[in-house]
Amino acid sequence: MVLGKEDLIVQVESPVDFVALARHGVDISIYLLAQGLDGYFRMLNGPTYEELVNDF
Amino acid sequence: MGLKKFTRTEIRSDVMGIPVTITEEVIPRAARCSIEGKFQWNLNNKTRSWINTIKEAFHTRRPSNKLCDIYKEHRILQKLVLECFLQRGGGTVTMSLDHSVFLYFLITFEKVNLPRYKFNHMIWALKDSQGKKMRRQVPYGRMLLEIFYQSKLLNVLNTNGVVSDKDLGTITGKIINGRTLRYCTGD
Repeated sequence: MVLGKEDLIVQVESPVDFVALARHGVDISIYLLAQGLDGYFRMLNGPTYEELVNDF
Repeated sequence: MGLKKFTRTEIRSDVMGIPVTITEEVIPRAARCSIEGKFQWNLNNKTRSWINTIKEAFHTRRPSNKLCDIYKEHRILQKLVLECFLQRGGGTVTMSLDHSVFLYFLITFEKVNLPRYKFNHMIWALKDSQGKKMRRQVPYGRMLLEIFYQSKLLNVLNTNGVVSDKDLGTITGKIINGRTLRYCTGD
């Protein structure tokens, strides 16, 4: 059996609200800035076209 | 006719008839991160040295060796590993040794080679979807769209009239914010 397009579930990366987390006493931005991942998390804020990704 | 010869590891497919190839070199630009850093993959549970190192980093002076007993900051980073970096399926919180080592690198400020991790994770997911496990989850929806966008694929679809958000099925990820902390124990 082969999986069809309709069987697939597209997993979208979760955007992160670093300011809200820091306000609640959990500041994780230092860990990710050290990795140089600020651009990566900016990229995650955009939308995803599920149909296109499913088609891939 | 026939398949183009493979000269390196790459993922080939097409989107609405337009061929798309993903290689490890494409990912740094899409994910906006560098290729430098550590990479440990396919570690098995017999790698005792890693298991001991991780235990020491996560659980020293903590009530138990359970994942729920790590620091809250580490819990959120663990959530990021599972939901942003190396996505798992089925809503499970179980971490493999590869996930734990990735988390260890984050916590100890050691640079990770994220593009290489992502590429290998995509290959693993692809193999699992075609194998007996029949994995249904397609990871990195957002990054794949960024790759399509940067390869001008969206422009081509635009000129061909496939433009509405409804046609393309717009979705966004679940935001990790203050509310997420409600479900995290620890301090």
